[in-house]
Amino acid sequence: MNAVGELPNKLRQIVIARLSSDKLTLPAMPTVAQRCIELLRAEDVRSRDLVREIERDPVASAQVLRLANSAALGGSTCSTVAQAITRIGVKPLKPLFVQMSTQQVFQSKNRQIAASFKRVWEHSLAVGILARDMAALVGSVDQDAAYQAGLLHDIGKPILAVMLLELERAQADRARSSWMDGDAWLEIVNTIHRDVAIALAKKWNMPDEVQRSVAACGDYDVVDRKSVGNLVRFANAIAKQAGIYAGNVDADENQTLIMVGRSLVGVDEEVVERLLADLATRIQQQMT
Amino acid sequence: MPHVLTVDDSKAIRTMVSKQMEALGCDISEAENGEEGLLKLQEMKFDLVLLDVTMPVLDGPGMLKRMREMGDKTPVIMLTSESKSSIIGEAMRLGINDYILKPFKPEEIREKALKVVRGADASAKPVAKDAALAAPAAPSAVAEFGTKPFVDVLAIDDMENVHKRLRALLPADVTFNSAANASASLQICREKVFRCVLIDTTLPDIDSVALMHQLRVLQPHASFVSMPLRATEGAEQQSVAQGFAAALSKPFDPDTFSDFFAQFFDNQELVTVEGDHLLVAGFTGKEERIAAYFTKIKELVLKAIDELAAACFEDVVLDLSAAPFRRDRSVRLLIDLDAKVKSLGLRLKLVGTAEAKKHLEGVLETATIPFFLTVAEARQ
Repeated sequence: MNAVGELPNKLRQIVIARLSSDKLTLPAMPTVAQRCIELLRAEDVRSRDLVREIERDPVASAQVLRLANSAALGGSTCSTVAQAITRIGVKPLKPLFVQMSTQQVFQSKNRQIAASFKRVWEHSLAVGILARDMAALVGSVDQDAAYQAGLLHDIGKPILAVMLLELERAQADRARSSWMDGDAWLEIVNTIHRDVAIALAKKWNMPDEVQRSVAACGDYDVVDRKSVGNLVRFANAIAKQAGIYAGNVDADENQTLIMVGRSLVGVDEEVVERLLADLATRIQQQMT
Repeated sequence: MPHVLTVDDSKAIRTMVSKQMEALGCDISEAENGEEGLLKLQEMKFDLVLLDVTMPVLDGPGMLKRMREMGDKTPVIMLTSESKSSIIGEAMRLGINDYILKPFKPEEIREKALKVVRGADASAKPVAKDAALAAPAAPSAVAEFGTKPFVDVLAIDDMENVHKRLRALLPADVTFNSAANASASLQICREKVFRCVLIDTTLPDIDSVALMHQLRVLQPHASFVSMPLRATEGAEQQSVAQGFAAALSKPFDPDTFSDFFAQFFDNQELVTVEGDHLLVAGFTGKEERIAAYFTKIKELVLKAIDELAAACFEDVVLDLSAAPFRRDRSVRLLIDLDAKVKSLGLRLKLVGTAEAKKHLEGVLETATIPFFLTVAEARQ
């Protein structure tokens, strides 16, 4: 095999080795998000403690104020974080911080990379929203866990993409060889991204249910039919069918996943259509 | 009567399936494996096959493959505990209509079987072109099962006083339920059918727009109305932009409430259609709202006329006996409706009171519209 053919294998081995030895550099959750999520674990969390932490970070402050002042909530405008938390309560804060942290992973200063990451982030939002809505419909599943699991299910892709780019640069320069073929590059991302996502979910100390969902691969869990993992898998297939996805979709396989998912979760075609209604608008509202 | 074939190596499953299909009014045959199933298909025609995957002698995918190779296009629903994409995907490529994972609820098998069989029924009927469809179609041999209780209004607000206030403002004959939080509202929306759902926009810890989207999936025919605080500037426009049908600000103002009620309730019974007979309900609101009443009547009757034309009726019997007569508005309404009816090649027949007849006698524009004092006369 020549240098070009060897490169994908080499990169794959490096990533897997780093994953196995826990030496993969993963993005940390922003400090403010980490501290607030930690505070939110307590049953008697005090608003003023949350306010103090959030006010340390202008980005977090802006996000909380934006949520509080959104049309969804009505009432007069909030101008302080304290007012905002009084308006929205503490419950919506945790999914907000997970969303903020996840979204940052999909950002890049490189315009081209940012554009392609944006499509993956749109898909992640779609899966999060759909999974949360389905959790609400079935009633026995934690909506927040479903939302967070949906947001995180593809988080390995941007992390791996950046990592591969850097590794490839180093390897290609050393070997004086050409860049990797696009298909080979995609193949590596598609086969390893889930391992990276699992490592990140663990590092971010996500709830067990979310970590299990991120780790779930292959076919549906027929024992725990309405698990968060099943909802995310089903939501993933629905989002792909709706065209909210960056990449190629095997239409037959996806249709099978939807058909099985409908019976598993207990929804019919009309419900799926209703879930998709306005989804594109809701995603755009989250992204602006 | 639809004939269904259940192919499963489990006697218990076949018995359960048979019971459900018989409850729908279907004939049922059974087979223990794919080979038997193929033999049955050669003996007679079926409208649907409910097919297991794992069976001895010949499994489900094997039977399906041979069916399709023989040109047999009988609809198939896979009924199986198998969920692997590789296996189900292969079945999908051969052509299945749906899939049911075991263990299954009786409702799921009934709904999915009904859908397939009804789809077959509809495609078999010739399109009616010239025949006057005076009577409704004969009831299908496949029966429907029970519906959820219907309630007019669901109010979602954490303040009990809001529920009390709404109940007091609504007419006594309007049914009303309330929920104090998101999970209670989701639960009640799973159990009942609502016409109108009111959602507080300041529910603690809740994104009311996200909740509205979730409830809309459970209540696809309901109207969703937000309840923002009146002080919020632009609340109505914001609500509509977010997907609500309207906003009803708190604290409730009687006049605004009256408009809300008229918008979401009055029009439901304003025009009743029975065959070619359009019965227009009377007006019960304040006189300032009469213009809105006539506008709504016109909109509903024009829509009904289109439906009558599509159903190949020849006459439109417009019954205004209960409707108020306002010379200018009534005449304008009749002129517009008559023009519409003529454009579709139908005939307008008007039923009304003696007083209305007297008022219309001197009106040239409506002179060609036959007027009757009763529906029976109009039909002679």
